[in-house]
Amino acid sequence: MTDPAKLAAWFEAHAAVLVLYARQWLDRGRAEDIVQEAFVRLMGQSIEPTNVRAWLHSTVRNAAIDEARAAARRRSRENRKAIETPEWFETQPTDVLDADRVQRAVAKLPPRQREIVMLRIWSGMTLTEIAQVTQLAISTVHGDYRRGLDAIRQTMESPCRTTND
Amino acid sequence: MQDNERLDNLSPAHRELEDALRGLSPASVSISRDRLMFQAGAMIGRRSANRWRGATALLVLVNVGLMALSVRSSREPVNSQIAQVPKVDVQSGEQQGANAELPESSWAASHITSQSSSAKSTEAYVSLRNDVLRRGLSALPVSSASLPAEQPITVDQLLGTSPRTREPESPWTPFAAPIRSFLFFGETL
Repeated sequence: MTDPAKLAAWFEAHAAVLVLYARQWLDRGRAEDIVQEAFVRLMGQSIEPTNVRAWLHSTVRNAAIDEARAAARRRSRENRKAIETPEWFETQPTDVLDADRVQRAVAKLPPRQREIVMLRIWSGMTLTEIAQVTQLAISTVHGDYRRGLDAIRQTMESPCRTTND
Repeated sequence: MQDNERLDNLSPAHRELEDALRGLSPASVSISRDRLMFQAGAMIGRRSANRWRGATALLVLVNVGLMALSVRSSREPVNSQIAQVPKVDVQSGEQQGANAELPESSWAASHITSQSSSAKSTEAYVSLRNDVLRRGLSALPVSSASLPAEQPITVDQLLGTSPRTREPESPWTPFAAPIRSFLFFGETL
């Protein structure tokens, strides 16, 4: 596949979401590296994938999990540090929700629920595509998605901690 | 369709939360698009170069194999035979006696090489040749095609006419006899 225009369009459409998706496991620098490698690999494919978005997410997922495991062996705290680091979202005055609180709520989710919520909300994937990427049953994906939303809502509704607490 | 049916079961609170979460946009990335395009192009170039390298290596291997085969075939042993042939005095036109023993010095040696498949035919030929040189033409096998010697045939006999009775048939006829005698050294073939 050697169409630079297509690659540029896919990059514009999916790069930020893919980096956000990879941030579950890695810090920003490594996440961006992995996303870039995924696009380069996409360009090297002899046959264009049927679902490019799902292919990109699967590639980033596998590479990010492998990298996180290798990093965990080197530095046991790196994964947790990546999740707790801010800057997952752009903060804008018009946001209904506080980006930092959302990030903390999402980061608190169990890994599988967190991944499914991110794929559904910010990557805009269908449940079938999520099941394809995560290699889970659709019913499992749907159940985890609902539980994830419930958990986020509970975290968002709970009062913020203050220094007096 | 299955997705829609399942997602229809979400409560309004869930839907409201979904919409609010979707309002947050991911942080911008610092990946350079130009760098990405360059890396992709470089990777494709490397792959193309590797393909050519592979083809070249394959051709080199084929060439080496062919060279090895040709060298091996050229080193196969070749059957060689030495045949002794009697020397014939050509100037005197005499052939040495058929049954006479020829001195060793008059024998010339020549190498006759042949492949193993034609060795027998070569041996037969050499043997027949030696017999002919020793005993003359009588050593040749009797052939049905041999005819008794006859008088030489003249041109007139071939044409079926007599030279004195022939009439000129064309303006070139007077020149025919000198040309014929020049070409055939007379009227005999």
